[in-house]
Amino acid sequence: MLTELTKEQQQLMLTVRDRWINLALKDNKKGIDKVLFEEGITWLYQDLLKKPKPKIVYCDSWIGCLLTIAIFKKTPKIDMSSVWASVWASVGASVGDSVWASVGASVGDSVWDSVGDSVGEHSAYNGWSNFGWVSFYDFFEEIKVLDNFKFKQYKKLIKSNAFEAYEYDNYIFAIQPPISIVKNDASRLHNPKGMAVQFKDGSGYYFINGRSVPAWVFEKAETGDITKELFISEKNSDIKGAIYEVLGQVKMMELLGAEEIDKQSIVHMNGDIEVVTLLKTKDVFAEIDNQPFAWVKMICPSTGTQYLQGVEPHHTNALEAIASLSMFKAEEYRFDLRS
Amino acid sequence: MNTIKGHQGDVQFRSLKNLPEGATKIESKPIALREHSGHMHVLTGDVQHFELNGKLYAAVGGDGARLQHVHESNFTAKCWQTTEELPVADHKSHPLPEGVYEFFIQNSYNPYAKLMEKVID
Repeated sequence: MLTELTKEQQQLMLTVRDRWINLALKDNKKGIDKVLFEEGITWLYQDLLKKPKPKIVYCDSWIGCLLTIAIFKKTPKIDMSSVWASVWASVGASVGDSVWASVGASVGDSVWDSVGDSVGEHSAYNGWSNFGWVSFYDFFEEIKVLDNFKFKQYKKLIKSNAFEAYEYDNYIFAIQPPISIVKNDASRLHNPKGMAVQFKDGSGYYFINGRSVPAWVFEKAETGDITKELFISEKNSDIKGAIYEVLGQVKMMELLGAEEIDKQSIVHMNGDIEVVTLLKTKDVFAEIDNQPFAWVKMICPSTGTQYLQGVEPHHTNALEAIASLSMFKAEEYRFDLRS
Repeated sequence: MNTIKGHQGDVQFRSLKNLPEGATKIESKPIALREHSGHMHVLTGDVQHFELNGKLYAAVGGDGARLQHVHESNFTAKCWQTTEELPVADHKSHPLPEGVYEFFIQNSYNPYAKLMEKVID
């Protein structure tokens, strides 16, 4: 019974995790490895399920795939019975049993923690949503705890990098991975400038800080149709938050109007003089605890670009407000080097 | 040595006397990477990178280092060792002498998230 991982095994755990993350986030533009995918499908249908090899239909996007399936289902004489349940019964259960028979729960938990958060939860389909559990058992294969032929074959199929697949008796619809995935520092899907997930055919999905956002927010922001009235009347605070992010600080301030509260000059250690201004809206807003929006305005010494950064509304002093966004106290906010 | 305090774009830094206890050595990585613009702040040269509680630290050796703002297309693995200035994206580079440094990415208050979020530039 394995009760503890060596330092080398702990490092290998991260390597295996990153290999799977990179397969999705860096190798996505290569598309599905069709040779690997078709080898895997042949094994899955002919060897495992004892069925004829199905026809494979590659789709450029999720919506394109669903539309294609809908068309097939309306076509007489096409059998679209799903095969997934029998695949899972054959592969998933046996792999799990052989690992858990050899590994203590605490070891399993620590490995799962390292991959589960980053890769996501698995679903019942072949594709990226299986990267979590497959990478988990991949690690145990690497450290020789798991040696399961079905898992090896199944892993090849998953490594082909199909984003998702819908499997039926006679057809498989495989979705190519998105060509663009944009995330924030917290690894949440996030793109205030457009789609956070985009497929080859141009379809995709908008996210702000991991929250799905309707396309109209971006369309209206692009055409200048987000008005103060629209913003104020919007009841969904997730959408208001998205508007705040998509418009950006400058447009939000222009939209809502703001007045100058305080202005201060900072003489930096290198002799630069920086003027910072604290601004607030005259109005207060119920959804942010009946507070105004507040910003501090600064100018980039390299580009001359004027920046606005949101600050907490209680500030009345521009220097304290800008320092609150940094690692420095107000009295320390003087730099030797600036660019 | 007096404390050095610097500001490059949305990255701020200061020199420290010592590495904080418990800081773990990590592979070289950008201090900040912006997926929208492809711009990144990187510390190159005679430098080892460390991390503790999500904060980045660097130990700069006797050959010095340079904090650079570059486009990722102008950066290869070999660039980690150089103290020469790479093509500047927006913000000019800063040579840093031997010492220990702490880095911080400027925040922005998001009244909806009600938390301090790192600036996305």
